[in-house]
Amino acid sequence: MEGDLVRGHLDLMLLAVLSAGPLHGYGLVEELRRRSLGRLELPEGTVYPALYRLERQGLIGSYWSSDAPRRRRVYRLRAAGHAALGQKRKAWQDVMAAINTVIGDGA
Amino acid sequence: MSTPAAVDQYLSDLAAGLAPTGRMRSRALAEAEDHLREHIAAQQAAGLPPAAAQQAAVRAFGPADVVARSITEAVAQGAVRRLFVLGAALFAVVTVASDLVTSDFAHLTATWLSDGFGTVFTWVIAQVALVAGAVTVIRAVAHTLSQAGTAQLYIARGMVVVAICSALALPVDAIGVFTGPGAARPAPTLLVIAATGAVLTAAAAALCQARRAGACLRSLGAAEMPPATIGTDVADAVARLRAAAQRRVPASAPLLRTAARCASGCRTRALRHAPWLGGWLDARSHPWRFALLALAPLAALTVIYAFVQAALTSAGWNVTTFAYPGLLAIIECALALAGYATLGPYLAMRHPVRAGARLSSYRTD
Repeated sequence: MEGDLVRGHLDLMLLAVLSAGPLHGYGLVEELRRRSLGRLELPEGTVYPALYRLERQGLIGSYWSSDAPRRRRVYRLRAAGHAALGQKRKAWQDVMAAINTVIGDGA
Repeated sequence: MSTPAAVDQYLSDLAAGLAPTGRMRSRALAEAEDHLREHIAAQQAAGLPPAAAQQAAVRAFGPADVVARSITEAVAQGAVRRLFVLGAALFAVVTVASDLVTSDFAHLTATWLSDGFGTVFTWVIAQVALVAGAVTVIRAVAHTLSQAGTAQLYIARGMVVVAICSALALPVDAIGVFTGPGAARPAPTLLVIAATGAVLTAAAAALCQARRAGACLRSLGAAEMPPATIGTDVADAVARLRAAAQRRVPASAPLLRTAARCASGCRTRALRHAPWLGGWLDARSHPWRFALLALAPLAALTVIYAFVQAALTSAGWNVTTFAYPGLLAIIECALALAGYATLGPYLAMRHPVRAGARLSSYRTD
């Protein structure tokens, strides 16, 4: 899938994945890959700036976890993130419905 | 061929690309290392030999310079935003609490200077903060804060000036240091001391954020003179505010459209009759024009003040009515020029003076 297209909606996808429970960076990328059936292609490192941005916006929180062999940063969705996820999901569905109406199914 | 040192090499490249911003830098590197090692472990568990697993992990993470730039941009955006909030709060405090909004203008009599150096200092420094703050707020509205770039560097610098001025002016004013014999300042209360402490703390926090934002923005190469003049920024800021107002209050759209059409029509007519006006008002390249622009509103204020003063005191007006306000206008003009000369390049209000460079050779993009 086109990288720019994926990056434009990365925030929404990250919030959606985190709504299922706290995850660390690699876990998030793996979950994105699993949910998209391996169709999402983006440099894994670019997930972190998106996470920092969401954290700054107060939509997600993070903490160091020492459960794993190495110290790792775990991200979790905040209440504001749940609300933002609902809004972004609705906006995406509206846009998608509108675009689908315009482009049709090609039949 | 990939070696066991591939991850170390990648992290080294990543570290070289990241801005030296302390905690966020070490956090980003720690997360990248954890991510890469976990990816390698997963690849090896899937049957890949160690060297191939490392190569795959590094490739999947993305080019180190691209990732580093992306992280630095995110950190810069956060730092500029926090700095802006702190600076704007200090700007508001300076505006409300400084002597600028009290009666210094009316006190411009013989007792004014006897109030002491503190009063003059506060009066001057508050105006520097106000100008820097106003320019910065205009830039922040004109250029979105969520994009790292040259404008953000100057937004950060403007707020640095505001923070430093606040840290200097408010304590001087509140505690009454440098106060002269003519001043009758109350002794500092616990509340005043606490408020001063809060201002100093906020200023220190703002300077920390400025340091971080500056390091990030410099490493992103945002050190050139912004392409837009203050005039362009004002126009962009007005357009953005108009669009936001139309979105929030759709009923205001016709009125705002009419106002915009009128303003645009006036500008077009003015430029048609005087095409030189656009370049003439580019104060970045013409210090003496900047002085005139600074002096014009002050001269107008002086005349208005003198008339109001004469009307209020019923004393009639004569040459002496204008004497003290006139003196104030001259001092203000000198201050405007001095501020323009010293802070102008730092705040991108004026092109930097290069040795041997002539004024006419400055870039005026």
